[in-house]
Amino acid sequence: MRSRLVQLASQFQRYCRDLHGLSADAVVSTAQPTYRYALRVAFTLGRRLDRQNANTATIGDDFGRFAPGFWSAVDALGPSFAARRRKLDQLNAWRNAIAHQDFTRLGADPLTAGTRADLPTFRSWRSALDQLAGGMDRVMYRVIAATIGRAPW
Amino acid sequence: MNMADEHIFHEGDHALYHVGDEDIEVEVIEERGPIGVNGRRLVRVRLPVAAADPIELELAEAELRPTTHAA
Repeated sequence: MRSRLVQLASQFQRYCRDLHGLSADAVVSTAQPTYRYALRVAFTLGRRLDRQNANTATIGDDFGRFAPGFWSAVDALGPSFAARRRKLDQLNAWRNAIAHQDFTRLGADPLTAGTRADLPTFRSWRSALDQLAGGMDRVMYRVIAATIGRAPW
Repeated sequence: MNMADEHIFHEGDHALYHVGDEDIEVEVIEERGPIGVNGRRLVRVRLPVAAADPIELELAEAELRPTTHAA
């Protein structure tokens, strides 16, 4: 089960990187050629998702390059999104504990206290991430459409 | 994967990237696949190759040109 949790976190990170890359390319591809390097730098230089877990902090920082208030926009999609973000961070806390074989903090951290690496939890987190991915896509579609003035993809 | 899905440039390849009024030699460090707009293939590159503190960016493979010498 622990390997499935690590795999789930990895797959979600890949999704986030891909959505970020698509968003950047949508803006850059519509820009004047002389602006493209500066835009590539602005969007992708030092992108945290290239080196770190896809948690709420790294996602918020990277997607915040397109417009401020990324998570506020996602949360505004519905009352369940804040809870889904919490599940994302719970998953990443478990992912780190598994990767470092250090589970001592999980019980003491209010974020993860009471959580278990079992099948029901895995299914709950996977469902939350599915919904979160859809919400992130909807927000970025709107943000990029507003930026470039047409449907981005 | 068919040929149409494959990258032209691969990890470790060197290529030219036009910035301002000059061509800069970059190194492809990751093939990201056809995830860009309309399936454009994206790559991560390091530039300039010789710098001690290189810059790493993600860009469309179509923005790169082959170097005139082997990598």
